[in-house]
Amino acid sequence: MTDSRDPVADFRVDAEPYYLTTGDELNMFEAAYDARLPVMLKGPTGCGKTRFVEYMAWRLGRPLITVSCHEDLFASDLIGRYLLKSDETVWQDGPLTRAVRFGAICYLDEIVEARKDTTVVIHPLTDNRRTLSVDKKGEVLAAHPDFMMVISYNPGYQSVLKDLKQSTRQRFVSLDFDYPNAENESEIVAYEGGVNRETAMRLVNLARKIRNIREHGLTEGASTRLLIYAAQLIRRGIPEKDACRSAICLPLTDDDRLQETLADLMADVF
Amino acid sequence: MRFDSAPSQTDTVDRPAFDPIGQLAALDPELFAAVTAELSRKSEPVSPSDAAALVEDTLWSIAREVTFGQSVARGMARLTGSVSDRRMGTYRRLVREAGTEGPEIGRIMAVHLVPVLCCGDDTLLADFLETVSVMRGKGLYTLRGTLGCFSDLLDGGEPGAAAAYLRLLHITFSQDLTYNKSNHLAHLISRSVPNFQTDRRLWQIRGFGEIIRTDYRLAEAFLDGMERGLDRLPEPAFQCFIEQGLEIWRRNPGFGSNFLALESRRAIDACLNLQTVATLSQMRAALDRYLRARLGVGVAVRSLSALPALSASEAMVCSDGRFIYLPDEISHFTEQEQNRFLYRCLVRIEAGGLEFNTFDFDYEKALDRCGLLPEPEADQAVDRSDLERFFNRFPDGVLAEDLFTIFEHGRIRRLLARHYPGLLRECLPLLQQEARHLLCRAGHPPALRLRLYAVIALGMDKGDIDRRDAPLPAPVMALIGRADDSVESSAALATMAYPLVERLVRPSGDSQAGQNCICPMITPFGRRVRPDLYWMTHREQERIADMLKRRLNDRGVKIYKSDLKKRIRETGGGVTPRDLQELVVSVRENGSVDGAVSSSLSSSELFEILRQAGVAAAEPKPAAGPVSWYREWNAAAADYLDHHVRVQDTRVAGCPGPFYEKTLTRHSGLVRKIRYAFELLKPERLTILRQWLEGDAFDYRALLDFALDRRAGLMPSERLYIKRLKQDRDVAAVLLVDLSRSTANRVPGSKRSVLDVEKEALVLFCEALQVVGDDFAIAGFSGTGRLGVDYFRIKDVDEGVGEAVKARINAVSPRRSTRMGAAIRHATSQFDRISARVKLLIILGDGFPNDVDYKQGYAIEDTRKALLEARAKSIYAHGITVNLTADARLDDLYGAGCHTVISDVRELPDKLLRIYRDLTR
Repeated sequence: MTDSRDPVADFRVDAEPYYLTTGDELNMFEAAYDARLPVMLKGPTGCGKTRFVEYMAWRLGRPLITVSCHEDLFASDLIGRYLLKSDETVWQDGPLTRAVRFGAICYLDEIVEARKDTTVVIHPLTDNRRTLSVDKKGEVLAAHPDFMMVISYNPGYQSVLKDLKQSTRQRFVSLDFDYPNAENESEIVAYEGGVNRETAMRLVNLARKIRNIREHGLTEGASTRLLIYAAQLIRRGIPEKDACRSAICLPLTDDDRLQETLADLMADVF
Repeated sequence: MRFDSAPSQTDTVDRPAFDPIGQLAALDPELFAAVTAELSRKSEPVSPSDAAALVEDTLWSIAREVTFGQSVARGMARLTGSVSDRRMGTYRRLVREAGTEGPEIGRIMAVHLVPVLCCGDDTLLADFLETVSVMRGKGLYTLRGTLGCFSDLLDGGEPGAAAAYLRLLHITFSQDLTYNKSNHLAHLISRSVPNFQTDRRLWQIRGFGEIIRTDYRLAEAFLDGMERGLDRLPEPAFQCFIEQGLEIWRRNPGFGSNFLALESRRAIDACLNLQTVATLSQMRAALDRYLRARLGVGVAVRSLSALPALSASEAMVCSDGRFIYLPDEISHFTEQEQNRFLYRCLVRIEAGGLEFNTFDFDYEKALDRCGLLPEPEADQAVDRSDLERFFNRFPDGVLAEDLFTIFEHGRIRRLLARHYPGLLRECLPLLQQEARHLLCRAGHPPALRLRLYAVIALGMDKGDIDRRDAPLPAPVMALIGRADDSVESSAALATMAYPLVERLVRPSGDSQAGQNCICPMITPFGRRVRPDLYWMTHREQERIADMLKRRLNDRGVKIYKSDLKKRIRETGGGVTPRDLQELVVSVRENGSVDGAVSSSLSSSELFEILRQAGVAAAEPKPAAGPVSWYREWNAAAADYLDHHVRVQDTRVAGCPGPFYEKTLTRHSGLVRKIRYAFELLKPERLTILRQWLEGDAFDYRALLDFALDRRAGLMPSERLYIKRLKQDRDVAAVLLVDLSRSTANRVPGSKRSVLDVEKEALVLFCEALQVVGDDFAIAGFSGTGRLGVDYFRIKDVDEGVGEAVKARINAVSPRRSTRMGAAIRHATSQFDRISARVKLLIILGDGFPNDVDYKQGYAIEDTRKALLEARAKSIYAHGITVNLTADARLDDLYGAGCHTVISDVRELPDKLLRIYRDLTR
């Protein structure tokens, strides 16, 4: 629903989201925004990419429009389509068009999931043209000066058939995300999960061990997000081992032998 | 007759003037020597009558047959003075009786009566005679091989097992058996029973007897079952299983036989359920995975039997910094689950030593901590580890080592409590329980060191361990509070405790009376720090780090060796001068860091430090398989030599090791590229094409757009359909690897051999083909001569790439020669069992076929013919030759365009997969 006064009011980030800086990403993003360069966030799942974008949107005072990409995403889902409203056809802007038109940050999450013929839609926006072609309306939309494109991408387990093409990749400034170091990660887990530092430290310790067997059976290590889930369960009185099992071990794999190893690691730490 | 002078041994025995034994010298000098040696070992001198009796019987029996006489002489020599006269009389009587019937039975009795009479059990003697009588009824052949085991059991101090064995023989040969069956059973029994494990064979022999009593035809099935796992069952479980098996047999003999042989699923499950023993082979994969997660580096478990005998000792667990060694089986508890738990506990605790850097002990740092002076320059030999050097500083190195172990294990326990409270909570009680058990056994008062260990290392309550009559020394206990997290602090505490403990240990009951050195203390499960093992594995690295350190020291720069080693490990060999500058402890007055540092580093030395010198595995014995005969093409005669070459198909015996994983890590960049490239090869089973011009069904979203566009007055799109495409890929490949001697050659400019690189290529090949999903098999070949071609199966087509295959790849080693034609023909025959649209044979070698009488043109022609035969069966063959410059004869061999030359074998891993991809695109 659009507000006639502020068409992107729904997308403004009002409260400061919690985000702990781990490197130079803040400065980099601000510099990129200043130059209106498109940004690509690379990193494993659950390490803070989306949270970072929210934080930057709040910090820069821009609205944030997020699109979760998937295989059935068509170009019209991004750009917009005609809708039938009591016998009349009315044009409805898609999220991308809205961002372009009103100067929001458009965040395409997990862009590799989308089809290639959908992804190319963003090409004219990510070079010096900064235009969006709305064929159905016969309109070429010039981007609002405050518009910025951000995409996220997990290079780890993607099927190569869904890899990001060079012609798309090379339009973006890339920021590398990874799980924070032990200190920072336990601070994050303690804050978001609402547990004390010692428990958070133990959860982080467990995650580090699990990440050692990434590529040796597990496709991905335990993400910070899962640790936060576990912490939140612990805070609500669930015993530590059960919380870890449900929040960390079971989601990672269905393989019995790996479950056994994860259970051993858990028993060590708690 | 010869009149040799008697050898000097006679001087040691008090002999009368006329020595009857001396007569033997003339008869048989060797026998004489053996007899006198035996007699000289007696506590009392031999009486003349005994000597005369010995000679008399010997002469009597030797007259009948030489070996009979020899056995009598030896037997009587052994019995003389060791048994009563009555028994001696029995022996003589029985031997004469038997000898009268025939020399062979006489000899048998002469030999085997000896241990029976020595053990002094008349019942056993009666059983023995009875059994021999029964067996003689069948025929002397039954006695020939079987009684040896009986005597060995008696001589080995197992009278119970010997008696059971007799009963087994009695049961077996009192049955109605044909000659063949008797012979066969005699052979089976004599061959199998000696292999029964000492601590279990009593009931196993009894069980065997039960089986044979029920039906002698079950003997083989039973022995098969023993090999497959029955031998591991404890007594009650074993009997239970046998009863079950016989019960099933009564209802259906065939099923019963399968059950006892552990062939049926039911039997295997029953056995597993009854088993209380945990085995390393069951636990290995899980333990390795745990270690990889816990430590993040390539530490794995290995069997204690891989250690040389001297190093093995009584410990149940030990480590050399690279591997954790464990026993092949654990039967400490009565429940299998508890035994498995013990494995896991031992690994988790021992990993603590690796994680908290016990072996990073630095001799110099320790000296600084303890305020000791270094030895004079001349004594600073680098022929042992830093820990051993430190222990040698003390008058009693063993005591110093024990004290260090006590404090070090305490340090590790504290660190584990801090980082892994759960681990300690689960595992420590087990160690403490074992310590209590040892304390009870250790006499009164229990050994001081063990008590100190219990309190300091295991954190047990001082009140429980302390004794009023021998309290734990307070000054030593007070040292606990001065511990910190470094391994050198354990050394410092040991140094401080040494004089106090030495005084207490020397005069009291801890030491062995009359010996200068005390024995090492006994710890729960034999856990201790093992610097000797560490040295065995890391000698080269230590030597080089030490050399670097000395060079720097010569130039006035002091760096600790352990810091050097650690930095080199961390940077992967890329130590820079800046790294060294960070590690500098101090600089002497005339020394300068830059100069010293830049001149001390040599990349080849650093490389050496990193080179993971794995302990070479003993040559594994491959499991023999079927033999096939193939023809060979004789170009000169333009005809085949039929049935000419013998190919033995064997499966490589795997040797578990980290080679597979290490290769993946080493080539991680390439592995990613491979997975990428091969996933592209993989056809998506079902491709859905949306918004297509034509297809099977409507794409509803496109239809909606169609309607809306029309309403909006726009030109609607024609792309309204969904099309489903099925793509298929049906490729099977066999990769045939030449394992000839030449593959052991070093790759120029590297320390690895050609085969090492080929093995890496195999690993990557496995990874790639798993991604793309093609069926594949891997085999190696070599041999000598036309009757000795070996075809080593590393991976079968229907086998997944599991631990077994990885272990086999690890174990592959260079062999002998290259008779390619036969190997290709055998590989071709493997394809008969594979149905695939595209069949591919890739031959990986480092040269031309070459074998005994198989050279040059002859060999090339035969190989070519074999390849043509393969092609005729629609098998596409491609040759890859490594480490050779291009040779026109390769075209003759494989056919132009059907082979690739890779002159630098290091490119093989990459190129092999590219070739495969191109062939199967």
